Amino acid sequence: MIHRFYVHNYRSLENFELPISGLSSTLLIGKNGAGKSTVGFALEILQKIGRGINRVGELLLPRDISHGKLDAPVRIELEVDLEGVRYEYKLAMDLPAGFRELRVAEESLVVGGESKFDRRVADVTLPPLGGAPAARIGLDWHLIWLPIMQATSDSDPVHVFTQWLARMIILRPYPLRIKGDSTEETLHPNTEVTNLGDWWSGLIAHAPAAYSRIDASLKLLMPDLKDIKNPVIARDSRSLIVQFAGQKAVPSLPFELLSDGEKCMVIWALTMAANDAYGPVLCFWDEPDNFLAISEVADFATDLRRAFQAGGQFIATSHNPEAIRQFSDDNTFVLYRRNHLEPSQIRSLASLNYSGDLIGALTRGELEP
Amino acid sequence: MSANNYRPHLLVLPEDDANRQMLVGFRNYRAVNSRQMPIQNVAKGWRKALTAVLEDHVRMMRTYPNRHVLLVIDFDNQVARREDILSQMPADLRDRFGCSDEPERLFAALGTRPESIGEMLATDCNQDTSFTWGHEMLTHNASELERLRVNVKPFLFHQQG
Repeated sequence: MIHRFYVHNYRSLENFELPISGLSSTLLIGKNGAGKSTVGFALEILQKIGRGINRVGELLLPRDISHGKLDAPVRIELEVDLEGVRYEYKLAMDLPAGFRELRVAEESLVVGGESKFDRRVADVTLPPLGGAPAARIGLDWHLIWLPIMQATSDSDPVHVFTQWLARMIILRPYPLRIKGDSTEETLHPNTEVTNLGDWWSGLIAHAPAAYSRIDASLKLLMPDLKDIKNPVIARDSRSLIVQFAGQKAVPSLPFELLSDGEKCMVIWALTMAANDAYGPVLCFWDEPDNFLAISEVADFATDLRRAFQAGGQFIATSHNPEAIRQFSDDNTFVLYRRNHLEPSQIRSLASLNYSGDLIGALTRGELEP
Repeated sequence: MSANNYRPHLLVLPEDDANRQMLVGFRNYRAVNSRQMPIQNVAKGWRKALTAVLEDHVRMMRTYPNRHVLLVIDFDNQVARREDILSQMPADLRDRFGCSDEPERLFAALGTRPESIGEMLATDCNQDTSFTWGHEMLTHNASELERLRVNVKPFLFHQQG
């Protein structure tokens, strides 16, 4: 669970801290352009690092620096508790005069209070280990050290942490582009979930029992669903097909012919099953209510909240009144900025005074920190 | 594609936003069959809530015989308000209608968040205890709570403990 997530000088986030420590599910609300999605983009940088992307230029572009403020580095700091151990990862990237690509200015990882490495620009310092003295390594300053660092086993804290980063589920689904085909197995859905077939295959291969969880969840929203199969269609290639009850006389439906909302229901079911199967994971879902019928939104949001109560963390953004009503003042945060030159501010809804009901206050634009 | 209307369910009408948040906590309790407990928009006042019941929900309770309706309001220390409200319900629907008093000052008295209070109340319901329902501000709900236990608990909770 995230204890602290701090971002500075990245797009609209300046000296920004996400106050979600201790909360299993949270909702970010606010006007368009307030910075809700930007929180997801900042988390995505860490997810990409966990997934092995180590070139700074593939993580961050000069245009991502807040208002071109080149005199200060972009800072991303994450403190997370995994299995009772605190992991503290800090990364600062700057763009010195004459550079076209940002470089690493500072990077460090501390696990349970002990340094795993500490870096200043190109110099990486590894602490003494097993009687061996501290070591210094020179590294291209355009490369992140964390994905390169060798883990000695699956229980090595470096592996535990990078795997947790890699398994973050950050979602901005683009249903029209989701086909259901797969050529590999992965536990790493991309943000648009265009590799849903690969994720399905990877999840079922990793934990076959996940299918029953997915099946049970989907049948709550699609009572006439019979099953979803993933047959081989060519060498090293599979494709999801969907069978509905009473459909014996007609062939199964190719996954891509499901509606946008139904595809999101499958993503929803996979997300909850993934948290069960290889969690606890952090899930950031940008507007999970998109594409859904209004009658589905409350259960959809409630089920996600409940799925993360026992472990993991769920962060949603929303403009949908029905989704917003499934959260309360203590786990809803308002992002706000008066104009595009100001940084995003974040406040707990509980700390804001608004009169009447929340949706009315939102409609009237009264939620200002 | 919700089928809730044709299965036993409890439609809950909160008077205000604090009550709504408490009900969200109740519904998020792990043993609650959340799909059978839709929470409606806040009514913004108990009179408006009652009007909504009489003008809209009475008709729909007859359309959907498995629908139960619970009004969650603040009695403002007027304990007779419950009888006044119940007396306005058609006799054939009274078994499927309930009215619970959740005073706003309860949140301050218990010193915790509405969602947490909702979860505590659900825990009591599930485990047949009265740690929270037994609070002095809620004890006058005892007879109504017993009615809900008989009529609603069998479908609202899907596991014990």
